[in-house]
Amino acid sequence: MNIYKLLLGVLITVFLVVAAPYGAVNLGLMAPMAEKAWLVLLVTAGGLIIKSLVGDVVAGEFLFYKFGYDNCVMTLGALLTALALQLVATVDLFPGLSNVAILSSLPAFSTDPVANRSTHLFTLLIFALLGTLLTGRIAAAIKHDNAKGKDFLSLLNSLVGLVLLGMYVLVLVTKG
Amino acid sequence: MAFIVLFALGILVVPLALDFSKHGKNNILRRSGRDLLEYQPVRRVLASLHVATERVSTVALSVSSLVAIAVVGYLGLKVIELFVEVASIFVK
Repeated sequence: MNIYKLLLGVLITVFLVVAAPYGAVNLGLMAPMAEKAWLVLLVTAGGLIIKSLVGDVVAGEFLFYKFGYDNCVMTLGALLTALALQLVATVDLFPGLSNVAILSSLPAFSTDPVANRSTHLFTLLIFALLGTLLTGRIAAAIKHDNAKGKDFLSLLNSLVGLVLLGMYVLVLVTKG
Repeated sequence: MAFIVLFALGILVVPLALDFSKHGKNNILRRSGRDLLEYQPVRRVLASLHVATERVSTVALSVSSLVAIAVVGYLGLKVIELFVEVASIFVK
């Protein structure tokens, strides 16, 4: 691959993932970012770019369906750790969870805000689990040539994974 | 939602660049659009409208696949919202 095209791709990724969210905050499209959120975003973007490049080299071509499934599994693991931490904590460790649009309308299950946060994390974990099952099923069908419209499903798989991972990263980078 | 859209699009740029460099015009977006046009219900609707699907441009196929994925994503989010609404009823 042309190195300049790859560098341009990397720059666009860094712009969209690290810089553009600050623009969205200024426009009032999203909640304020936490302190040093840019660092979390930069590390996440860097990690995913390296993952994409290594995946491309190892498999001979980029497997979109596998990328989606991998991101779902990664989110599931990260959420399990987050839930375990929150369950033993006495304070709300993830106030940014209130900024995930869909989850912010979840009802209060308890009068204790810390217990509520655990319940909300558990709900997000259920969504991640459902995403993992869906992308895993699609990935298996594509791998065994049982899927109709496998390119569309591959693209859909990668987007499901990225949306789930995006939800988790949003929890980490926004203020409560 | 703005962040999630920016994040998903941003991270997809490098994989798409890798795919474009490997497959050229026959990239994932084009192939995905072709899959969509070959999907039986879509094919039937287009045939009833007398729309020819043999020679569709790469741009049109790419746009149609992105629009279809956006629609599927929107419907998915609506299902989750519905789930949250139902949960709210039971908790109250």
